[in-house]
Amino acid sequence: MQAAISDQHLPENFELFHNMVENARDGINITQNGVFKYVNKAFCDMLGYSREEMCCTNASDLLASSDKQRMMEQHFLRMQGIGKYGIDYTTLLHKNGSEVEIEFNVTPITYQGENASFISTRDITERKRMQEKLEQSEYKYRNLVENAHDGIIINQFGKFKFVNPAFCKMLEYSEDELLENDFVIFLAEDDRERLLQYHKLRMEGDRNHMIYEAKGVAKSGRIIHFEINTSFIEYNGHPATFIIMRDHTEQKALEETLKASEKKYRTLIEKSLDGIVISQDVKIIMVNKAFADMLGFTVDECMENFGPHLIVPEDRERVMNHHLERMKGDMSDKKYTLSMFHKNGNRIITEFSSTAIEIDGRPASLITSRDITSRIKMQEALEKSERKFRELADLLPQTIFELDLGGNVTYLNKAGKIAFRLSENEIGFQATTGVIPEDHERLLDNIKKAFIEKGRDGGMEYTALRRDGSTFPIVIYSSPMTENNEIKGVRGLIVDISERKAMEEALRQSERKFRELADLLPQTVYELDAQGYGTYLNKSGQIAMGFTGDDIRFHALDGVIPEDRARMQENMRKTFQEKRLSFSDEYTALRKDGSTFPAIFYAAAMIGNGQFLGTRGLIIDISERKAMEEALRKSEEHYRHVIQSLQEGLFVLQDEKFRFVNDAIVDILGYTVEEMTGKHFTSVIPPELRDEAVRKNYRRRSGHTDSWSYEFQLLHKDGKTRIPVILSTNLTELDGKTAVVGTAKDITDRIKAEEEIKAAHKRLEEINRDLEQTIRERTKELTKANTQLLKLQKENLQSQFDVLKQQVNPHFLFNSLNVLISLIRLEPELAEKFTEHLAKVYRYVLENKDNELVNLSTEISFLDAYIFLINIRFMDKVVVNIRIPDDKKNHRVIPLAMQLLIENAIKHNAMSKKSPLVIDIFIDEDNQLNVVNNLQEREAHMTSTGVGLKNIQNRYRLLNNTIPVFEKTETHFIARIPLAAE
Amino acid sequence: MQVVIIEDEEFAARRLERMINEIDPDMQIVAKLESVSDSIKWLKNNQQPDLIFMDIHLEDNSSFAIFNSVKIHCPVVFTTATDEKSTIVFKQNKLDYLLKPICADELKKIIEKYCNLPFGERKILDAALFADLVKKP
Repeated sequence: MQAAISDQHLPENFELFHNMVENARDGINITQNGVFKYVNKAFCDMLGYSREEMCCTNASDLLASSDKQRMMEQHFLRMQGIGKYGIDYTTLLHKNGSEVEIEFNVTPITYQGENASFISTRDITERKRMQEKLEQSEYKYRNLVENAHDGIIINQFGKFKFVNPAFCKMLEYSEDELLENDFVIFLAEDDRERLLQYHKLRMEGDRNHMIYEAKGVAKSGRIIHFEINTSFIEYNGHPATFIIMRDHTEQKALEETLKASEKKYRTLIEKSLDGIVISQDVKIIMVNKAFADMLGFTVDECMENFGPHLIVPEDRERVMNHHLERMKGDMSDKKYTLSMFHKNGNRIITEFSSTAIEIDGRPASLITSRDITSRIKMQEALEKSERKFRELADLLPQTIFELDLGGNVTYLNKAGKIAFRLSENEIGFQATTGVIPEDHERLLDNIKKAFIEKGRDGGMEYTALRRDGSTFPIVIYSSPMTENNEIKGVRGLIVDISERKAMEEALRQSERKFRELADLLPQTVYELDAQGYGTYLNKSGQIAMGFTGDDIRFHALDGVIPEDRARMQENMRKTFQEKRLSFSDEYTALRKDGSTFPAIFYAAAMIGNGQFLGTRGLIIDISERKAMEEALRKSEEHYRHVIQSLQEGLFVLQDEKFRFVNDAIVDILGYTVEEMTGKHFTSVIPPELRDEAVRKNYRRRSGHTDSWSYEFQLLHKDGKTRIPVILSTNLTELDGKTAVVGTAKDITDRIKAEEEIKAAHKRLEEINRDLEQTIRERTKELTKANTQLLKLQKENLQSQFDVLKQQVNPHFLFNSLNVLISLIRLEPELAEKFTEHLAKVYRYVLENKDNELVNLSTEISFLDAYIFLINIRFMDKVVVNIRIPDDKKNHRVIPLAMQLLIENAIKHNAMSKKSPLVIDIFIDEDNQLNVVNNLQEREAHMTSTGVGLKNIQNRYRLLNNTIPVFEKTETHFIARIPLAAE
Repeated sequence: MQVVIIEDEEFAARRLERMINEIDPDMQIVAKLESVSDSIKWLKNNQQPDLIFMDIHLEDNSSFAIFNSVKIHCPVVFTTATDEKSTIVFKQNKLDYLLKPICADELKKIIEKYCNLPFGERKILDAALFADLVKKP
């Protein structure tokens, strides 16, 4: 077939073209109707077929399925004459199944007289692969650069030629700001010179400064520490520096911190007051000075010498066990005390606290230790001391307590528990529960005061309260407990003062008793202090010395008249100085009011504790005694005189004979004194009375000592005349023997007078009887008249009062006011009118309430005003018709009667606009004033008292006039009132 | 709030109405009644108001008679010029009343009391009990 092609159709220079085509590097073929008409060697090689194989192959079979559709469409279009020609790309299938990318160019030709396509092809598989690889590579590197965390830049001729985003971000510039800008702008000025020097050296071929640290500055001025890595590259055909830089700032800062921290910890450890040891395995890795000091070594000695032998034998095993466990990986913290040997051989007690740490990946112990020898000793001493004090406190008979800041009892000694009857372990209760509720507040106040003022409480009295409710008086002394100048609570002492209180009470009672006793004494009792000032004066004394008020201050010298003062002072001095126990003298006492009285002053020194405290004494008023003495003397003289000048007879009988008789009795009986003295008493008694006299005398002698006084008769010396006397006798003593003293009063005249009086009296009695009878009768008449009068007056007053009460009825006033207030806004003019009428009504009532009768005309004009008020109040519900002819208007009626009747009608009747209350007032043919209203009686509630009607009737009754008549018919109420003539 | 005024004096009723409106324009005077019979009729045929102002002496009878015929479910404030006996009963039973002429302040207090009083706490008069109270001498 190839021969056919060559022979028949190729042009003359076939050979040349044939060679050209055959040897062309591009694959060339001619297709006609989808079949290869010609293929060159290169095309065959391209797809791995032989020329023969190719010529029998459908072109479409060589198309890769991925592009087949498109190629077929193109081909079809070309066959139609509308297809595209020119360069295109597609994929063909190699004989071995691999795909071959090609570039092809289709040209339409005529082949053997028919349309065909001349197609030249070029294998571009390799080119395409290379291109992709390049792209991938570029992408990769770009990515690397763009996403690098390190800043990447290219510096050429001192300018930025490339910057990556990380660098921009680091320096806070935008890419645009940096590109083509001076390279040095990001270098810190103080570092710039050094870095430029490096650059210069590099340019000269120095390779020592390729990686170095630099200080940069960001746009904001922030200092950045870089690590810079430079290399030389060729960029756009010229040498350039490729620089990678890493922000070192944080790392730098971290380093600084670490350094500082390390220094800090090293210092801490070295300066620590606690001993610090780090041990690993059986070795000491480190000890600090404090630890070495504790054992009396230097640090170096300690490192050399430290070993189990420094631990006391009894603790050695325990400590080694701890250490071994730690080395086996026990991570727990351990704390223990152990005793160690000091360099000087003494034992010291230390407190070890071990923490697991890791050094070089293996467990180690960090041990802090502290010498607690002195602390332990102190603690022991303290405990001992505390025990001692506690025991001491428990031995004390008083209660000792401690309170915390909350007022809770934290300690109470044995005595306290016994006093408050508490069990052994009962503490922690509130302090206030230990006193009665009334004392709570005071106790709390005082505790608070102790806390705030840090002051001691010098002892307040309270009433303590036991659990069982019993109480006892106490004094609490307290002082704050401080620790480091801070109040921790209160400590105090409670003293049971029941006994003291009881004693005080007893003393007080005793004192009161004696004081009362002293006050009861009738004599003056006083006490003076050493200076002579009064400290006590009993009641009698206060009265005696003339003290009236409560102020009884005095000085002893004030109590006597000035003339006596020097003597008294001398006596007092003696008493004081010579400590004389008692002393007495007579003075003239001087009262406050200046009056005086004679008195004896008794004084006794009061000595207490060997000291002269003052004087106590008694003042006895001797004025009575003095007066008595005087009186006695005077009395004797007086009696002697009196007896002798006595009108009455006086005698003394002894042994039934006259021992003494005065002048009067001998005169009465007609004897002489001499005659009568020594006579038997019966000789002056008339014989008929002698028995009685003897009987009386006998009774006297048998012990009747009271005085007797009786009428008796004595016998005159003449033996006949009987003299009536009043005999008064009494027993007395004369010269140690009983005697009868008696008086005899001659009553002859009196008896005569008595008889006359008796007769007169009898006459008087008779007259009196008559008089009484007359008076009784008169009184009876008077009472009767008086009663009538009173009744009339009362009735009159009552009616006046009733009128007043009825007319000035507050109900009416308030109702009127209610109407008035309602009118004020709605009908101001009407309100004015209403007020005028209201005033008129009230004025009329006040003016006429006392008048008995008024003219009808006056009364009607008042009624008009009243009706005006009614009409406004009840509108059309009440209608009042007054029909009084003018010629009757001079008649008189009692005032306000008609008004009362109208008011009554309103009160007792229902009314409405539909069926109003109609009241007619007129004069009937009997010349009586009629007030008539229709009856529409209201239901209950309105209890009629009838007072109003009665009042009208009474008033007429008072006038002695015809009495009004009231009548109630089925339909009407009718009042008929009489009219009085003008 | 709906209010009924029972008062036989026209001017007094008008004044009370005006005063109520001035104190609280939201209060609605739904009826003004002049007599016991009108009141009974009205209260039987209408929904009862929230509050009644009631004069005692009405034109046909005492307003206490209303309680014998109608069960009143709302609070009642009595108004009276002076009626000593009644006011004593009111005071003893803590019933509200106003003395005539009515003072604006006192009326205001009463109205505010009832406006603010929860429904359950309103004192409702027991007719029988009340009748007893009033009849007692």
